[in-house]
Amino acid sequence: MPHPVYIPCVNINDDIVLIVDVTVSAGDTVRAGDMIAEVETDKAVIPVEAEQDGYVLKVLCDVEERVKVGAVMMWIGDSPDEPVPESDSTKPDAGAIKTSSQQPTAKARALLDKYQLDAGQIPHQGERLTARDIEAFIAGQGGTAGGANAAQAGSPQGGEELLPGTAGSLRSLSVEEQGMVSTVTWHRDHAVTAYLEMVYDQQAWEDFAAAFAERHKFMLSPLLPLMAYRLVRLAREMPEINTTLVNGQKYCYDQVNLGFTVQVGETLYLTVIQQADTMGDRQFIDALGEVQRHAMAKKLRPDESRDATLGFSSMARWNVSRHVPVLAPYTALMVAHSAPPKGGQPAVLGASYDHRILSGYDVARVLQELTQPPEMS
Amino acid sequence: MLNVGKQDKGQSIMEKSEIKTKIRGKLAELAGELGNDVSQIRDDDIIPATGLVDSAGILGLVVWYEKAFDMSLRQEEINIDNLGSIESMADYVLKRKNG
Repeated sequence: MPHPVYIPCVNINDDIVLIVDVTVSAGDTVRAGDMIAEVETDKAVIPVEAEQDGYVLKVLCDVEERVKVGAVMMWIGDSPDEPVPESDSTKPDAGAIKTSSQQPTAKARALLDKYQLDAGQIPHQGERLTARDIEAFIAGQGGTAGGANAAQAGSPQGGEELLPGTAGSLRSLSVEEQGMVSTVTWHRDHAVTAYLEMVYDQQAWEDFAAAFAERHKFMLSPLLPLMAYRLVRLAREMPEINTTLVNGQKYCYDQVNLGFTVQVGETLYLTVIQQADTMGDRQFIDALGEVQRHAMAKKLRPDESRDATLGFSSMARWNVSRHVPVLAPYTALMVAHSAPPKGGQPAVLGASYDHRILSGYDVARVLQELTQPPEMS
Repeated sequence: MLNVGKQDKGQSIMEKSEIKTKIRGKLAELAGELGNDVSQIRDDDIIPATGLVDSAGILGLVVWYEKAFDMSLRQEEINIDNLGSIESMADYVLKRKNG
């Protein structure tokens, strides 16, 4: 019996993904777990694996093709000469991710009315569209239901923008550019952002990192990972920095997912270490190193680039002496590390924060603690 | 991708030389991005200690190394003993491939 392989749903924001590689062709044998293709979605390249042993019967997509999530990308059979089902099964909407032709639940209907959404545009996994599906969809849109389209386009306060008077041409945004638009739009539309900074002597941190590196024979300086880890520990001591504001209420995260910026070529990724607060320092540094390698290879897993609850950013590599980072969606704090000035002048540690949740005093306390390394264990 | 497999002693020496040349080439590229010249670096110099490439550059070197020699590294393998110098990086390729 032939088995369909569907285009995976990786990010609820992405209805369309780009096929970047297909590693098998008709007639090949595959084993469960073999990588058979790679798809590119918002900020990540995701491997697609065979779910069972068998023979590739037919491949329905091409490299560089943009395809709809849920479409059948290939058929795998138990024997090499099985007939492939006719085209009905290959229609995009026949995939694993359903759109809502079935009846929404009562709570879902209320939310659809409230946010003026069309049920057909919201993916859902179950038999019926639920309130949770809609909330996830809204969250994925940066919480901008009703104005989602305008916000995604980055247009100021909604409405169609006029083209400039000078001759030019339009082109679509890449998935990375779309991710950036989504992030800065959340920052603009939701957070009330403020920034403050503190001068400090980075030498103590550098000494601490050098000793740590020597002890563990590290190839890479652990300075920034150690500072980021210190921030994670502070979030346990000061849980208010690990919160966001949703519908006028404070949402307190149960875990710390640390977002850490990584520049790869011209692309800025916000890599994420999930449940960083459950890790020891060495474990955290190893986890961050692995995620950074995945980012550089453009093979970030979905969980390595989403759901940050707290952020850390550095632009020291480019000798930037001060930067005011944009907040990641649904976070209240992003610490900004910059290059220490030449000539022994004090360095600057800054932070952008959502002033709806945190006060300057809160953030000053965090920065004060962050300017000093912990006691060497 | 460089094909490195089980070899007799003579071939391994030749291949090690080729491996080192490739590593040096990549190192020169990464250092060049920062305006640094690696022509004076010796095979046994500790790369991070030279200051010719920063952490991001070393990370780029490691990611390239995995791809160029078709081997996946565990995080704990990425240390000075295994990958600290051009010499040790070449040795580690051969150790992994021939081990």
